[in-house]
Amino acid sequence: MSLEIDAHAAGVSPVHRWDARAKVAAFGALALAVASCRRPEAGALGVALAVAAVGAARLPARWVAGRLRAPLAFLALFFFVLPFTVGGPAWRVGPIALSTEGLRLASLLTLKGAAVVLVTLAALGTAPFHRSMRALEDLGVPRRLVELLLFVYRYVFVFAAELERKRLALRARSFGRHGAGGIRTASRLVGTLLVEGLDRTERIERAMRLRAYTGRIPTLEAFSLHRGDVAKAALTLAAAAAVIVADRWPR
Amino acid sequence: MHISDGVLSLPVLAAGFGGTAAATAWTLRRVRDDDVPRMAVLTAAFFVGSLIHIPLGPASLHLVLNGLAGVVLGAAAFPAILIGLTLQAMLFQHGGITALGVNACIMGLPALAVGIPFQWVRARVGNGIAAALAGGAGAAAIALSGLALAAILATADERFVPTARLVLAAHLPLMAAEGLVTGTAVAFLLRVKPEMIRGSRASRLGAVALALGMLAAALAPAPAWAHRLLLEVLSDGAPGRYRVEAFYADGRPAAGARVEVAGLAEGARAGTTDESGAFAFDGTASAAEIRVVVDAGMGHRAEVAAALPAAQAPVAPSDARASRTAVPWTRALAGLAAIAALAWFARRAIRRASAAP
Repeated sequence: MSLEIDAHAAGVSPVHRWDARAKVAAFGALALAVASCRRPEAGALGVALAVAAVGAARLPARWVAGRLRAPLAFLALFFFVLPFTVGGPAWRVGPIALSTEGLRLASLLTLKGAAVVLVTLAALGTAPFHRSMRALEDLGVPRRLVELLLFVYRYVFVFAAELERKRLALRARSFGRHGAGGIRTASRLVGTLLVEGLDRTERIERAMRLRAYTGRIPTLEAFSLHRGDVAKAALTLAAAAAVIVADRWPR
Repeated sequence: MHISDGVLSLPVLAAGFGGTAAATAWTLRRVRDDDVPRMAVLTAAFFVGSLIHIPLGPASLHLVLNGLAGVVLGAAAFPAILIGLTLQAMLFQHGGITALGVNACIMGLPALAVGIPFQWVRARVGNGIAAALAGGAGAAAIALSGLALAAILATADERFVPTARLVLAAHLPLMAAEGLVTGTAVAFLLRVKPEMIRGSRASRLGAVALALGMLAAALAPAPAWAHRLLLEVLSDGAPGRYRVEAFYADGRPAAGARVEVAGLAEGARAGTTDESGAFAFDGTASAAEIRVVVDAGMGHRAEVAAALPAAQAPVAPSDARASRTAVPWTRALAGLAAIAALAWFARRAIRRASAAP
């Protein structure tokens, strides 16, 4: 899977046109509303709304499904644990007793997790990464942290390519079938990455100083908030409120 | 190991963000503006390093490297780990945006707790001892992370307790692997680039105390969890006679607790539990469910809405209670075996798929 979260940032959709600050803030509120759910029914509503958001963003379904695979694989583990460990009335399938409460809890966790991931994709997949990060800065995340994030994002791809090359070199020399076999090889691989990282750091630092870097990356991003942006934010906040109401209302 | 989106409730997530904000503010204060590129490149190297998998029997472990980050970066390890987790959540959807604060505390605070003392000791010992200590630091960081993760899961929801114990068990092999990797990697760095493991003569005991204190705060609810009040409504043998049993999560009965029963056709019942934590009452339900509230004082309060059980021979309370206070080890082990088998098949399938041209 490719690392780039903003591979489809160049698309055309109402979500792409949305002001990045309003988008990140409103989708953040929706994600938190979903995360606060305690009933699977509200979680299902959250998934439906998140699917609507991804649909409105016209993100390719295959890409979204690929991105969902890892979190769903993790959440699926709860289906193998909770129905057996939670007490209460059980649902019998042959010799196995599945706790209905455990099943409800596992589906709640899975629905919530899937909904939050989908909302994240709609929020971050529809703008270039640096614009999303500038939006975070405008929303009050410390500048130094944002700057670090942008830098790390830049170099993760460099080191990922580096790691891939080293893995290939290891495999060519029969070090394990998966590239890195054994503790010693793995730790030297890590050590080499760090040493090369430090060397690269020194070169990058000098190059940046030469280009008048003083600790702040200047930006050309200019945000402007229009009536449409506010309307979209209001719609998303209404969706968040609907999730909360659906979770608390029928006691 | 980290917590995914959707697992924790809002107060826990908020507490995680609070702790992360405090630790980030404190550690970023000592990063100068022009340190940013240096720190960022090392963070990227750590991030990619944590993508390395080590094959281990049927499954494979993936490195966390929070101990190594603490050993190499010291206090700067916390923002580095926070950024690594943020990118992991944004790029692979591992962990999660809403659980970011909690995960940063789980991984980052142990890095500070082992990294800062290591740097202090490093300035005073030789290379061989330093590498061995780094191995210990790597293992200890994972142990602390595992404990914090399990404690948070167990306190977030009573129903996660068996899961939390499984998580703790799963951290044991990871601990051994991380200890070995951290020790070997530091030995390698000491030979190849000794200035990376330079240590610090400045005493930072205050920082260690802060990190340990925050970890302790994360772990503190664990004993409180053992005092969680639970209750059950059981049949008392004869038709129309019932018994409320109140007990703590560690199995002790809650004696002398105040009980109120509402929703009976004959009106509300109230009283206190006896030495075995039981309170007997009779009546017929006026609705599908009756409501029972038990208050043992000191904030120990439990409430359930339950249907009255059918009349039958007195149920031994230990049967029902065991499922809530004890861990079903055999079923848990069977579940683990099932997961391992599934992981093995998934791995084989992926390997086949990627081997195909």
